[in-house]
Amino acid sequence: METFIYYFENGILVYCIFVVSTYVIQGLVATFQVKKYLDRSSLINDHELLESPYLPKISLIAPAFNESPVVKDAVRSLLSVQYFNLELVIVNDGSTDDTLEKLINEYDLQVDNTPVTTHIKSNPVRNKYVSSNPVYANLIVIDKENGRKADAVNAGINYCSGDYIAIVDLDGILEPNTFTKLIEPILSNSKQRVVAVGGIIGATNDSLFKRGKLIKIKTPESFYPRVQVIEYLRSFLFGRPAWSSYNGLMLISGALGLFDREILFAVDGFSHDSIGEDMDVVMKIHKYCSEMKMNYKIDFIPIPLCWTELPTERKVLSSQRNRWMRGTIQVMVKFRKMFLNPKYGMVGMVSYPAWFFSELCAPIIELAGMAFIIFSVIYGIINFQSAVIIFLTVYLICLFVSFYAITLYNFLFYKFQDKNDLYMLFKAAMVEAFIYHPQTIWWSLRGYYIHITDKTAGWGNMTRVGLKKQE
Amino acid sequence: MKTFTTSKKNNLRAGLLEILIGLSVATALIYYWQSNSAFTIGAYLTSLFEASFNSSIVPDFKIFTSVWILIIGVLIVLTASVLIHSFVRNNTASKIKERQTKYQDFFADVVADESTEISTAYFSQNQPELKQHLSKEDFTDPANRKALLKELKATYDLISGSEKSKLRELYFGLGYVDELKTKFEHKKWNVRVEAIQEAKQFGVKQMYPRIFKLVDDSDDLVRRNALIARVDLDDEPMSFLGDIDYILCKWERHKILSTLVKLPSHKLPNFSSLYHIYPLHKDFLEELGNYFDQSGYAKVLQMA
Repeated sequence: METFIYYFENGILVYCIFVVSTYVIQGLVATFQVKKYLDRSSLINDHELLESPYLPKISLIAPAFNESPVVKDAVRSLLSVQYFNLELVIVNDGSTDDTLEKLINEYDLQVDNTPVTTHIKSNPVRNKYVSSNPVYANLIVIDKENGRKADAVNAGINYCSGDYIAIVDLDGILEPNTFTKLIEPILSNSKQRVVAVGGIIGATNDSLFKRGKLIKIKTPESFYPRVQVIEYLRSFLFGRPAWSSYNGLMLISGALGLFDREILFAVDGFSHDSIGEDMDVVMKIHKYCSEMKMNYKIDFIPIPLCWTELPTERKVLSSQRNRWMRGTIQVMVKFRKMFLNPKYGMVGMVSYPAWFFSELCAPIIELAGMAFIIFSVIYGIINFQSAVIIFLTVYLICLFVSFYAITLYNFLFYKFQDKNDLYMLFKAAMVEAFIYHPQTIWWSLRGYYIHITDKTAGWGNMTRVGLKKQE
Repeated sequence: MKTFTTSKKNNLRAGLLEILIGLSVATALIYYWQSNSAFTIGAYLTSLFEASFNSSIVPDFKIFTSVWILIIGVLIVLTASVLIHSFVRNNTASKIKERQTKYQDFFADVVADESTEISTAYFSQNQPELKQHLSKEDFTDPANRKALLKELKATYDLISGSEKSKLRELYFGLGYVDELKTKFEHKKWNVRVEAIQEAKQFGVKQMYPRIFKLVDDSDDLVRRNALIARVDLDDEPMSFLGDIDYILCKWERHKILSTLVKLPSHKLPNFSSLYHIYPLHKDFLEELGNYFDQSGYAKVLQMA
C-alpha cells in the first residue's frame, strides 16, 4: 500500500508539473508568436491581395440544419465578406423547418441539374440550387438528406470548385478580412505546402451587432459563457499558436477552418462516423501528409476571425463538453498508431502525447488526484495543512494562467473596450476553479461513460439565444 | 448603442483596485504567516491546522509559501498592468487623435498651397522652427516626429502630381533621410522593413544599395520587401532573381507583378530571354511573359 501511495503521489506530482510547464511554455511561445504575427500583419496590406490574379478561389461551405430564423441574415452576412474569388455553398442538411424555402424565396433559387462527379461519400443529395439573380451568382444551395455536420460538409465538398475549402458555422460572424488573413500564409509560404489554416474564435454573447457586423465586444453577462470566454482565451491564445509554431496543431475549430481541396479529397473528406469531426480531419491530414512525406504545414492565425455564440444553459454546455470528450476519445483511439511514432514528426512525438495526457487523461487524473488527497487526509496519510497547501498552490497556478491569458488578450487586441468587462473576467477566473471546473470534469467523465456504454450517442442540441442588435 | 458613462469607468477602476487590494492583502497574510510572527489570523490558522491533524508527511511550508508569494506577486503585476494600460490608453487615445488631426490639416495645407515648390516658410532645413501649423516640438519630439512621418506617408499615398513632389521635398527637408540610415542597420526586422518601404515610397536613391543588400536578410519579410523594392528601383528589374536560390511564393509573385505593371514599358525585359539565365524561375518568367504579351488578367488567373 505504501509503495502504491508513493508512486501514485509522485505520479500526480509529475503530472501537475507537466501540465503547468506545458501551459507556461505555451504561454511564452504564444506571446512571442502572436506579437510577431501582429507586427508582421501591420506591415502587410491585405487589400492588395484582393486585387491579385494569384488569389485562389475559396469555396465557403456552411451546413444548415433547422436554421430558419437566422438563415437569410446569415447567408447575407457570408456573402458580404471581402474576397472577390469566393463561392458560397449552403448545405441544407435535411432541415425539418422552412430553412430551404426561405433560401429559395430570398435568393431566387432554381434547380440546377448539371451532373456532378462525387468524390466523397455522403447521404443522397436531393437537389442543387443556383440563383437566377446574377447578384448571387456565387451562391449554391445543396439540399440533402439529413446526416451529421461531417456528412453535410462532404456533400458540399463534392459541389465545390474552389482550390481551398472553408468550413464555417452558419451562425458564425466573420471578420470582413477573414479570408485574406487565412489565405495569406498559403500564398506566402514557398517552402512548405500550407494545407489547412485555423483562426481564433470569439464569443458573441451579449456583444453588440448591427446588420450582421460586430460593433462592440462585451463580456457575457451569464456565468457559463463568461467562464467559457476565459477557457477560449487560454486555448486559442496559448495552445494553438504554440502548437502551430512547430506544426503540431491537432485541432482546427469546426466554426472556422480553411483546407486545401486536393488534400481533403485525398483524405476522403470528413469522417461520417466521427463525433469530433474537426479534430478527426486535422489528424487525417497530418497522417496523410506525413505518410506521403510531404513538406507541409497546418497554420493558425492568432487573431479573432470568427465570432460565435457560446452555450448559456448548463444542460446544453454539459452536452457539448460530453460530446467533445467522446470526440476526443474516438479520435485519439483512431489515431493511436501516431502515439510516440517518429514517422509522424512533431505530431506523433510531442502533440499527440501532450494531448493524450493533458486533455484525454485530465478528467481521470484530476478526479483521482482529488480523491487521493481527500482519502489521504481522512486516513492521516497527509495532514489537512498539506492538503490546503497543495490545493492553494494548484489554484494559484491556474489563476495565474487565466490572468495571463486575459492580460495578454487585452494588451494585444484591446477588444474589451469597456473595462468593466475585464473586471468581470478577472472575477470569473477567480471562481472558475471552484464552481465551473469541477463540473467540466464531471461532464467529461460522463463523456467517458457514454462512450463506453452507448456507442449510438449523437451530437445533442445547441439552443441559441441570438445576437444582441444595436438599436 | 450603449454609451459608456463615467460611473461605469469608475466601477471598473474600483473593481480592478478591489482585486489588486485583495491580492496584496493575501500576499501580506502569507508573508506574516510564513515568518511565524505574532500575526493573529496566520498564527491562529497555523496552530489550528497543526493541532487538528498530525501526520508524517508535512511539505516544506516555506517553499510553498514562497511559490504563493511569487504567483500572487505576478497576479498583482498583471492586474496592475491592465489597470495602467487602460488608463494610459484612454489618456493617449485623445492626444493621438488630436495630433493626427493637426498633422492631417498641415499636410492638406501644404498640398493645397498654390506654389509649385515647397515653401521655406514651412520649416528651415537645419533648424526647424515654429511656422504656420507646427511647433518646434512637432519636429523634435520623437513621438511627434513618428506621428508626423506616419501622416506624411499616408498623405503621400493618396495624392499624385506636383503635390506629391512637394511632400517628397518636405520629407527630405524634415531630415527623415538621416534617420533612415540607422533604420536600415536596426536589429529589429520590422524597423528594417519600414526602412525599405519608406525609402521606396519617397524614392531615396542614396539608400538603394542598402535595400539591394537586404535581399539576403535573415528575415523573410525583410527579404521579400527588399526584392520587391529592387524590382521597382533597379535598372534591370529582374536581376534580383540571380541573388535568390528559392522559388518565389505566390504573394511575392503578386507583388512583383503589381510593381512591374507600374513600370514604363521600356524598362520591362524580354522575359523569355531570361529563362536560361534564371532556370529556377522559369515558371514565373513564363507567367510574366504571358501576362505582358497578352495583357490578359484572366489568363494569369487561369495560370495561377
